[in-house]
Amino acid sequence: MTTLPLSQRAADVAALLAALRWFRAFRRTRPFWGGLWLGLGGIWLLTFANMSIGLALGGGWNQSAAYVIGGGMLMFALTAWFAPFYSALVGFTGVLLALAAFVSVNLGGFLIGSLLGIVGGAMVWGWGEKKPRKQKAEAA
Amino acid sequence: MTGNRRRQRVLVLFALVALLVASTITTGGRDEPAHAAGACGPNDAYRSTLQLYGGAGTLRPCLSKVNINVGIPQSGQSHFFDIQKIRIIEDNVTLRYADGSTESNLKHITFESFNVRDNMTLTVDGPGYDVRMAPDAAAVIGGEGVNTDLWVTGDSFVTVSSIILFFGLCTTASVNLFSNLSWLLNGSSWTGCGMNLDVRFMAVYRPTGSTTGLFPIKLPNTTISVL
Repeated sequence: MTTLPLSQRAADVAALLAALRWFRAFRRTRPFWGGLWLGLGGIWLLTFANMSIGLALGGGWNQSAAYVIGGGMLMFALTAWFAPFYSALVGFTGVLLALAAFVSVNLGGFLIGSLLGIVGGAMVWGWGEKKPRKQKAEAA
Repeated sequence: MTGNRRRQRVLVLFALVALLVASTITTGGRDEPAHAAGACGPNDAYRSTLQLYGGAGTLRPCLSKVNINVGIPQSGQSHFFDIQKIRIIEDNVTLRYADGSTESNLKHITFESFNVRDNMTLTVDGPGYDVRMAPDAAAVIGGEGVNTDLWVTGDSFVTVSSIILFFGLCTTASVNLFSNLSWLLNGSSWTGCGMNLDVRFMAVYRPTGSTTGLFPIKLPNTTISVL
């Protein structure tokens, strides 16, 4: 077993803490969890479409609905993350897509995809920027 | 971290436009040629008029140019199908397709009582993909007392075997040669070793009228794959 020098371990810990701080800032400045559920709903629909993209594009709406709706939910989830200022519009569109999935894509991915999309889209729609945390010293 | 408003606006606009474009280009779908409005030209002018063998009827199908390949690969001297009679009805048929184009030099042939024992694959050449149907046991496209009319290309062929033909060895006959061989093909029962037919249109019918429970097409335990 090899042991890292103390300076190396300290650097690793610092990098890890920096990554955690970055992720926390990322998460707190956008509708992270709503986008995550909405995106997972889209991925779920795409997974259970079980159809090649060539076949989907060669056919009509019935074949391609999973790609359009599932892909749309995934796209709006990413849009919610990277354009949080428009979260209300993106969340509303995500909910509409999740509802459309119920009638178009295998009962909304056997309900699970639609439910994830509705919950996620609603969370994105209702998201608002958080108040900055008070500093501990200030609170004391 | 989230970029400026302008960039976010562009991103949202792009997402909305992408969704609109995707839903627009995929909602058209394809209608069945026989049901799509105006699919066979004004007043159905592009339908073909086809006579069945023996005056059994007249058909006016709307043909979508889809090719159906009936393939039974030869394997030594093994026999894979039975046909009572092979008839050449018309030697030079011209079919008109739904888009107004035509195809000439097709052959109209009829199989009487066509039964497949094994080894058959039906491949439908669709636009951009093929649908393959492969029964893993005996299949019927016709059956006893049923005629199977086929409009095929001239280079299609059947490989048949009969005790009066080369001592029962499998012999291949191109559909182009059916006219010359009609005296032979029409008069005997055949066991077949293989075939490869490129079919433009097929009609299966019982000249004496249908009977309940006797289904002219049976594809048991069929593996259907999209390629």
